[in-house]
Amino acid sequence: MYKYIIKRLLLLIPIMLAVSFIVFFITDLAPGDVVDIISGTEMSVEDKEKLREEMGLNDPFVIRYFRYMSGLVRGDLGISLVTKKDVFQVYISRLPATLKLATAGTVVALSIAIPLGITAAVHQNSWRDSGSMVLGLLGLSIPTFWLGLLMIIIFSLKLGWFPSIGNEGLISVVLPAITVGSGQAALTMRTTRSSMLEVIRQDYLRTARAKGVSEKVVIRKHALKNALIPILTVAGNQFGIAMGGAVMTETVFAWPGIGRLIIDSINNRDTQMVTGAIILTTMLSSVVILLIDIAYAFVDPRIKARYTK
Amino acid sequence: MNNKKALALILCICLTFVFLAGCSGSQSTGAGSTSTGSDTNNLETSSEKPVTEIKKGVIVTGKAVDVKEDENTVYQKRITIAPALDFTSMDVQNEAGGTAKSVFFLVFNNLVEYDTMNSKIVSGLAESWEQISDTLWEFKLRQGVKFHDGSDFTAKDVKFTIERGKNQSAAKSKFNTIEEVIIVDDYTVQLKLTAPDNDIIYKLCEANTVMLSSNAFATLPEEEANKIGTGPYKYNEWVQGDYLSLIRFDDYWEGAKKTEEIVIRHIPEASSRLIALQTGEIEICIDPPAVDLHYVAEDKNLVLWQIPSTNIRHIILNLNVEPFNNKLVRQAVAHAINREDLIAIVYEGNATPHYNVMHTISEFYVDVDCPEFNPEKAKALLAEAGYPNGFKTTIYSSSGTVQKAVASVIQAQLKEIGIDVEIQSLETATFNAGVAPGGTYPIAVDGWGGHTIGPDNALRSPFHSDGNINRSNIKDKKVDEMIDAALSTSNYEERAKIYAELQQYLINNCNWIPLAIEQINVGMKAELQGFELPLGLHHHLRNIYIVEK
Repeated sequence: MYKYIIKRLLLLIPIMLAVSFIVFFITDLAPGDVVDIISGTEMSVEDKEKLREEMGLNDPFVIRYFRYMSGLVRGDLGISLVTKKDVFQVYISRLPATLKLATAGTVVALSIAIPLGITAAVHQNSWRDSGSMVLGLLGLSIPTFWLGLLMIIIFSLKLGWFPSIGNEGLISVVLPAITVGSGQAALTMRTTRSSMLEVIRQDYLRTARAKGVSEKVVIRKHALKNALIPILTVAGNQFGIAMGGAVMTETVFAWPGIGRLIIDSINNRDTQMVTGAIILTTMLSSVVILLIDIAYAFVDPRIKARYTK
Repeated sequence: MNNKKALALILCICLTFVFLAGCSGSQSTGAGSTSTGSDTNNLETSSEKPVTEIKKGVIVTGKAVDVKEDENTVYQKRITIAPALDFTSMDVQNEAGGTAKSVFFLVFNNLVEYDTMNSKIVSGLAESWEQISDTLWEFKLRQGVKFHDGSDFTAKDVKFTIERGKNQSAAKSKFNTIEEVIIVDDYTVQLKLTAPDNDIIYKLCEANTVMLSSNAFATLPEEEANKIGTGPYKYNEWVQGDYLSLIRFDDYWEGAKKTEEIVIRHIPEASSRLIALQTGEIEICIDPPAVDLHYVAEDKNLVLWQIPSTNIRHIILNLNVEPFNNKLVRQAVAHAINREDLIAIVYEGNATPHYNVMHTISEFYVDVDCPEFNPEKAKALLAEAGYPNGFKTTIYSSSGTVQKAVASVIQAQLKEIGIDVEIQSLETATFNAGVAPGGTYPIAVDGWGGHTIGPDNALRSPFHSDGNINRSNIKDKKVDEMIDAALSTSNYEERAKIYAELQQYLINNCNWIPLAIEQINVGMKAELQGFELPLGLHHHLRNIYIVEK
């Protein structure tokens, strides 16, 4: 088990190298640079060139990349080209809000998806099945932007139950979490349904029923636990993606998360911030996925047995 | 079969719901469009709220609540403001962003300041000033002014600020005519100029020329020293991308302000910004969505200010690119533009058509003879230029909503005279790089708001051969000479004459076609007092307060 974890963690190194190169390269391909953003209308062409020279933007790509990498291997992600703030510090300051939203969004998604998925599977081909499917599809199809604004109008403006913007206290996460969660719920629900359908047909469930175990216990104890692996995979992956930020939701709710940080930095051509933030997000997502893989072992003893061999 | 029916029924219900929701949304937007569509007059008739026009074309809909104040009055501790753009840097002499500049006016002071409510230059950290000769100015400094670090403000801070600023990107262009700062005594400084500069006094009012503490820069790291000013508020906490908190400076030389904390909150989405104002989570909303202004106008708890901005929306025709090097073609384009239609479509009527390169706020603005909308004349000019069947070209714009809409309208209007225009909308960095002097964009949608730093900056930047934003690539000796002469001529009448001639000359040249003066819309709580007109895009917020009920 430990060997496996160490192997997975070591794999992160080539992944980080590849990610840093790709991000740095793609940002470099786009026309324009950070000087075009920060100079406004107040700098002459000569001064802009001088600033580019000072910032090292005129150096060839390879030199700039190796300069960046030499900092990275020492654990230095550099400073933002626009705000002059430390990239790592800025990222860390945004992380709690992102974690909060990703966690709450996943909780919302699971609380919608699992009951609906189970209902759909247990009552396969009934109106409940179709209804769950439609609800799931609706959640997936409604644009996040529209749903977010609609919820703000109803629950903040009209009813005054929740704040419309920002990240202050637990109450502020409710609306953004529902917005993020309702989009995620559809896929998890579909997975729950198909995974449950597969399990429900197994012989051991028939045996359990034959022994007189109540239907509730059959579903909860015997079926759901065995159907959990694919659900865990989907939910975990979605959590991993949410760690990279939910840009639309963050924009509508003025949520200070990582998604907006990355998008703003891309628009500002802040190469240092973009590369740093994406490297850190990739690391986090990889760790989350690793944790989920480890969690399989606890859910399914067969996998645990394979690790310990 | 029953299941299918049930599914069909559910689907129908859902579709109906979505359809109704969609319709209700579009109706509300439609109402908004109608309400604001015919300018503010409609606000007057559709709303019971009073509409007050204050000077300089500013329209205020709604009325601030009357308050009585005495020594027992309690003021609301915190006021939250949501500007359209985020605060991005504390680097005073290098920052060009509008929100940061509004903050600099809260944290720092200038030697002299521009009173936007009364359109005049008033004393700031300099109590008085005098122009001794064409190239020498003397400033008597205010005594007893403290920096946030407790040190005194003296002449050496003025010298330090100016000398430092001459090497910093955003301050450089404002200090570059100052050859030397002479300290006469602790509270008297003289500025010796390299050449006569009639605009120096305007430049000293700008946010990049606020006074810094020489003591702070000597004792603290640069990023910390950049936080030390003499202004009524000092930096408290900055969470980038979320909020900036400023706290009252109790030793402020004018006396402590009434509001204890000002928070600049970043709400990127305009609709969310407006809702936050309606729910009371913020007190001032800058730039709510143009189509939703009626929500502010109709709400008795809110007041709407519609302020003509200093931004002139215009298009540039690149003289380096054929066929725009032909003056007849440029004139044809100028005659093809219908500003009234453009304003109705792009701004829902909330902008003013503009016909000159100079802004109306300038004391040197004159009415010029601008090519009028005349498609027939435009076609004739095109034929005379050798393009009887028009030609193909491209218009570039940044990805902003207004810029893209302007590009679409220009495309349609030029189509009428046979010019086939393709639109390219690019995100800001790409657009800025491509439109820079020496660029190859044939037509570009642009904006220019540098009219608050004096007439020289207003015309030198876009029209002088060496101008920072000479994006139409005009290289005209006569224009350069007129701009230089106006800057150094001390005779006011002569200066006015040069500027008048220059404005007409540039309009005739048609390389820079003005379209409209845009509007800054600000929604605020009716309880809010002390809101002042902005200087350009930089809001004056230092006197705002709310009396606690």
